[in-house]
Amino acid sequence: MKTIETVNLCKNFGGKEILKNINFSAQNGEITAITGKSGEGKTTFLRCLAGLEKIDSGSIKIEDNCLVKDGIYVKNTSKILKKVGLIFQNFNLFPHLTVKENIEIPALNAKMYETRAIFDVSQKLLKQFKLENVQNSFPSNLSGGQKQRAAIARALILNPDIILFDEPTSSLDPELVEELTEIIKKLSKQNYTILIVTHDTGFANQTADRILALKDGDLPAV
Amino acid sequence: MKLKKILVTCFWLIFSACVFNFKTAAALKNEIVIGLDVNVPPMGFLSENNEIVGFDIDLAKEVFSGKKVIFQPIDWDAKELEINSGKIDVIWNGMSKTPQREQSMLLTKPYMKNRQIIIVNKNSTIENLEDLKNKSVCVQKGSTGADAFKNHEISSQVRNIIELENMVNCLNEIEKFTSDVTVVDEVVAKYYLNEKGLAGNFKVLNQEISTEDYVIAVKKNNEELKNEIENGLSAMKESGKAKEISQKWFGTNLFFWENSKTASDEVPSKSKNLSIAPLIQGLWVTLKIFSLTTIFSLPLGLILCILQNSKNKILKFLIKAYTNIMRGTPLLLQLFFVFYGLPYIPIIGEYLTIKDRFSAGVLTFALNYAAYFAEIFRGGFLGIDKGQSEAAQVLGFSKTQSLFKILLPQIFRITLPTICNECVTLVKDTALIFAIGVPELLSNTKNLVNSTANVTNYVIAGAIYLAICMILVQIFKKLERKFSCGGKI
Repeated sequence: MKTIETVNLCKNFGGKEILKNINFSAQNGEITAITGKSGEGKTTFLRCLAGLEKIDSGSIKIEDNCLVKDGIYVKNTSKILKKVGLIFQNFNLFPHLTVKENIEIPALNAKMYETRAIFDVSQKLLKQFKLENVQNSFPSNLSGGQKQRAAIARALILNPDIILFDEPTSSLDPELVEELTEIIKKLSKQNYTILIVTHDTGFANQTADRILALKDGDLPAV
Repeated sequence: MKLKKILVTCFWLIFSACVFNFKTAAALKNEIVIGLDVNVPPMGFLSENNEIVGFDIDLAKEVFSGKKVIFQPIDWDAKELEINSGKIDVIWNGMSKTPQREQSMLLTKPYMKNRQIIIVNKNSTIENLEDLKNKSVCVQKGSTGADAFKNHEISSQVRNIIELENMVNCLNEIEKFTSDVTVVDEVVAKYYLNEKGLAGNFKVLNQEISTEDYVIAVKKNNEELKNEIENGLSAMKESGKAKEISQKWFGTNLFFWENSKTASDEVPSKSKNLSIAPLIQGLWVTLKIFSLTTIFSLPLGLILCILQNSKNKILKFLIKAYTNIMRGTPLLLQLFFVFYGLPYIPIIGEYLTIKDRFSAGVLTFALNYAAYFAEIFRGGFLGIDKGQSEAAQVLGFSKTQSLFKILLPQIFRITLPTICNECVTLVKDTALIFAIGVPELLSNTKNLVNSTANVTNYVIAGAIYLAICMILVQIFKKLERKFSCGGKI
């Protein structure tokens, strides 16, 4: 089943067309990697899907709901965007909160479950991502890998269907890249739709089920 | 070797400068510096041509006719320090004789008599001393009127005593009814009111607070100069010159020389208080101003900062203008404006009158510091990575949640050192509130130094300010450590 789909997606920046008529879709459990040189608009594409950038024309469909139809955004975008999680290149963990608090705060804000249930879920995630020992540490005291796992756990607590990774290997040591590949593969087995933007073709080959190359604002149709 | 040479050269330079200084000082012995408060017409004041003129000026010029006379405006509160440190030679300024002044300076025989009279608004219901109960009394700080009134038994029954820098301010207060009564020198007040044609706006009570003698002061032990002045005055009396000058200024002869038995005993001696109680009282006021200002200005600054980020262009412009005005004009001017100026604004002025000096001061401080804090917080906002609010957005935070849970805690952390800096400045700025008549640590110290001639009080006050600032810095250090979150952001 297609969980995310774009039709004729266009995005301009200061009069320059960054993304031209992108038609793209991805399915549950599928790992897609988008490669390309820097400045090609890979990250912009990801940010459009996460709702951080507004597209100029075209449509984005998430699950069965339209986020944008022919360039017109629906009213309640936040409800639809809840299905999308984004792991930033520099993770953007909240520096004033501990790892545990970082993971819990989105769920507490959204009042997804009762507070106690949220604590239970966060404990599970901490365990799953091997963060139990550092759960009371602040992000500034974590290693790159720990930060990334914390960021993934923070995104997962909101129960998204689609997880977007922006250059996930850029701040990892080589031995941690393998670990990341494993984490991502596990997530795909849990039926998450995964979209990775990376310039690291080796990592893309290792991890992804299919690789698309973004060039001149175009993504070859799938 | 080079260093040694430099040191020796420096020493010789300083030494020769000192010698030269002594020489010039000796050469200038033919010069007399007379210190005066230039707000005391008709004794000594600035004319429309910005020249110092007055009754005392004419007398002094006559007495020192063979010398170069320099009239030096001074801070009246610091007159004892000025004269005893040799910055000025003579104080000749309608100065009354008091036991305290007799102790700290060398005084001539009286040359004039003056009563301390009570002036009220012409519409006032106050008729006599009895009516002063529960009334607000305004006096010129450090003046004989002020001392005489504080020592008069009625002073314990009035609502409050406000001390202002000069008599004109006191009379303004009476005219505006912000104070009920002022106690002033008869000579000064009458001359002023007649000269300005304002006599009709006030009435003078029949009873007086005290009578006093006007004397001239020189540095302690400077008998030579004192004799010179006294001989000069005697000669002027003989020649009729003194009478002539008096006629010019008062229309009558108020010059009074032969009779040295005077009414000076009527001014009760001020009990000599060497305690630091005034410092403690001042400290308390200073701390109150500081804490209230901080409590009000921080949230106000934050609100201004948040509103400035709004999309409303008019609101943005207004806040920008507000911060620019508050940061671009002297705090002292703002204090004057809020307390003295607001009531004069047409139509809304009367609703903006703040009668309580302390409140007006704290309000001004809070408004002023809010502007600074707003800018500090704005800097904090700019200092936070855009990714933080984006992360919050992707994680489904509402705008308010993002502001209060993600941005503000970080801004607080980033801006702590700057806020600390600003608070330390505030501690010292509180001293400005004295300009609108609220006595605090520094002004109380100044008074204490003048009444006891003990400069150590300055050191004590300095130590107190330093201590407050050190404590503040420590508190902020603790806060910084507490919110450090394991290191840098």
